[in-house]
Amino acid sequence: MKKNILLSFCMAFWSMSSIAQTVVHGAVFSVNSGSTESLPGATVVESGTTNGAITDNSGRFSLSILSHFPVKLIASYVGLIPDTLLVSEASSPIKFTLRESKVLGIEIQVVGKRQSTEISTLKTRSVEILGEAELLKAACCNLSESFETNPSVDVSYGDAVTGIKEIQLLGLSGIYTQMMAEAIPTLRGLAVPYGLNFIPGPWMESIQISKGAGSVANGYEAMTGQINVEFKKPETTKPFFLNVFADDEARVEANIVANAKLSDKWKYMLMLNGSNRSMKFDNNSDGFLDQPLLQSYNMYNRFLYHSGKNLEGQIGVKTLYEDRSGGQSKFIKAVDKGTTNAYGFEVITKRAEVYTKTGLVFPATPWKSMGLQLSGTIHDQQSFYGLRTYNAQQQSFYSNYSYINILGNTDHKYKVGADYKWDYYNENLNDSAFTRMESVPGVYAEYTFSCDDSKLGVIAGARADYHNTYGWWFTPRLHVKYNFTDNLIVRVSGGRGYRTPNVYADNMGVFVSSKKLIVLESPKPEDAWNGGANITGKTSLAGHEASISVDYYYTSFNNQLIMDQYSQSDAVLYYNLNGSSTASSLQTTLTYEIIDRLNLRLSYKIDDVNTDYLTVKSMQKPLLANNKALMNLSYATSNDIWKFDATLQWEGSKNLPVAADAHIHDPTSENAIGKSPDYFLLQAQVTKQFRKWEAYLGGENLLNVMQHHPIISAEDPFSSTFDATRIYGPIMGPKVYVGIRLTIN
Amino acid sequence: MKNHLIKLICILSLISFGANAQITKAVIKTSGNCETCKETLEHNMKFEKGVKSVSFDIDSKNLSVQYDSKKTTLDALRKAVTKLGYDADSLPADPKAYNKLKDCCKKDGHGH
Repeated sequence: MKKNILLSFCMAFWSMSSIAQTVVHGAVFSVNSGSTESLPGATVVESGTTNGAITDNSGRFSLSILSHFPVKLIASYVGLIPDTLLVSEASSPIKFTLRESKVLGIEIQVVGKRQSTEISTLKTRSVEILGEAELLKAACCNLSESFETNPSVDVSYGDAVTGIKEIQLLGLSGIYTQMMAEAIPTLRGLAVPYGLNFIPGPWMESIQISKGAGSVANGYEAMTGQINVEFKKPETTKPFFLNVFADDEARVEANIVANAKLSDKWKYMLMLNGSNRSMKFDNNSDGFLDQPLLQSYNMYNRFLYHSGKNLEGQIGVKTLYEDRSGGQSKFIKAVDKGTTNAYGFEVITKRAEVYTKTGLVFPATPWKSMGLQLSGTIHDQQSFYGLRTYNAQQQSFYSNYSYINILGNTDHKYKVGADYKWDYYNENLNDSAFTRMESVPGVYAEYTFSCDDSKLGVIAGARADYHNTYGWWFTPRLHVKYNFTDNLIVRVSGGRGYRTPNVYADNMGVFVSSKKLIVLESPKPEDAWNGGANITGKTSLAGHEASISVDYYYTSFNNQLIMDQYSQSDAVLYYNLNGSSTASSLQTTLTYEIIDRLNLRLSYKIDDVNTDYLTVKSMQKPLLANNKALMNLSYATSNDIWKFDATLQWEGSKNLPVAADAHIHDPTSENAIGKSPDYFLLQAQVTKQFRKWEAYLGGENLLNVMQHHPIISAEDPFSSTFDATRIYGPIMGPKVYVGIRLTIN
Repeated sequence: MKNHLIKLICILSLISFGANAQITKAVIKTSGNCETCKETLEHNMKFEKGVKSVSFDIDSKNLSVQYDSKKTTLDALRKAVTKLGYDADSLPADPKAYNKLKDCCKKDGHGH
């Protein structure tokens, strides 16, 4: 008995002392483009056991270890390269530094707060990141305007009436670019034309643009590239943020981003946006409003879950109501709708999107994880454009399960998964109705080779999908990166993409003309190969960093739904490609810090988009500038208290669609297809930071360049020659805006 | 265009290198110990009169400041740090401000 007591006393003492000795403390940091930040939510485990800890809000952890010193500790975080340290004593704090993973594509980027735009030298895919600093340069108002200081993505008005802005990547319409919200495909189908207006700028933390083939894990749709939007996150934002904006044409906009910690595991974030323009402006006196009247409300609720161990999840609900209307200023909806008294238009959009994301990580084997994404969307558009009515609904469901693991060691990773996409479309144009249901199950596999010591990085992926109408689709894609030196990187990519076209929804801009819309044959799925190369070099000139990047991408369509604005002067024709349709894009971008904090960006782009139309072969796409240049200068004072930014853009001449009043019946003749003049655009912005808030003042189109008569037959909008779609340049003069941003801790 | 550019650069240079300032560097030892403290200190100190640049190092708790000695003094800057709730060299933190700090920024917080 005595012996036993002694023994248990000894054991207790032994175990106590061993506990006391084996608690280790430390912190985990992440390094992203040179800046080191503490990393909350990272996992630290004792190698070979399931014993682990999660870092707190300031990136610190303490862990009582099970075995004897020396012990191996592994720190990991989704998307970062795990770091292993051999710890031989408990006394001094341990510091882990995790670096960005070199290959895992855009779904896992950690984006620093201070960078503006940069092309990563680490990733195998060529990804251009627009960080928060860059997003602030385009202060108004939503995703479509975020690209105004970026040379890769072009933004233009689709027509002179509705105020829709369209984007183009590699010279091709935005419909060929896959839009994603935090790695979940979004704004598909009917939402494409107006969709960019549905994502408010102040909600966004960063945008990633990747040109060329996308990841097979996101589907078969990315034909020319992917644009992924990362929203603000509770970890990186203050509890309350308010932004108010107004411009000289009475557009008022307010944004709120707020977040709260509900418990140790749950966080909540609310984003609100309201936008309004209720005054009518007709500065060019053509009887039409220069910009539509607008009323929109946009809300995003998100709940984020972190179990503290291995489960992470997110539930989000986005809802939107938008009413935009315009046309002739004398138009009164109650009296004139459906008549030829006055021309009016109105688009009412209602949209709701629900998604969940669940991720399971295994703390002991940080390279292994699985994830499930589910999302459902209802989109409803009720609209009329003069005598044309267009009502459409879309219901969509998307699910994607993925599993990530390694082959042998962490140099060889793979991702396999299965996804399912379901869409129901119901379109009504005047009296004709079109309904379509798509159901597409698919599987994919992607292999990634990356290694710290190797100059080579490879991502090879393939997917197979079975479309309920069109049968099997096979999508191979390949990305290869080679670092000649740390500062000279070449990337090559290639792949195939598919897409089901929506005849009317894809090109709603043409609704605002008297041209007939004639669908000559039933559309087939669009199918294209894309290949490209990118060379990025960085060097130091006179002590300041300079970088140059040259891109070349080539897209060749096997099939495309052609929208023909050349062959017939009184109609827009739709038919499947018969012949060849290609797009090539060559872009050179130079960035240089001239003196401390004065940054210059110069870019020149040549887009060649040639299509065989019914009557003209190998013709350049209408309303696309072959040549474009951009110069951006930004300066910040040493403490960032003042920021100045100016962008000068040059747009070369564009082909114009055949005008409805063209009296020439031979559309191949030189005169039939007009050329627009080239022009310069200048915009500038000044921001002043105060202790609690920030104010900005900016101007757009400061050189007052305008297309003076953007609407053909504006005086007689119900005549056969009315056409508001021949828009090659700005339809409004200079615009001035002011805004404030308020942050509360 | 070129002339405008040169003018712009000149104006910007004037703003940044304003009239003959006497720039002094100093290091203040503080009680800040986490990422939130770093943000609070850097963000608020740069709005103090005469301050040209600020940077805070969490590990050493040192706040490096560059300031114009014609417009402010090191003591005034130390005082400003205490008003934010942190010790500054031998000056103790303002108790009111200290009590308002987040838990992780308090002296025994260890980042919790």
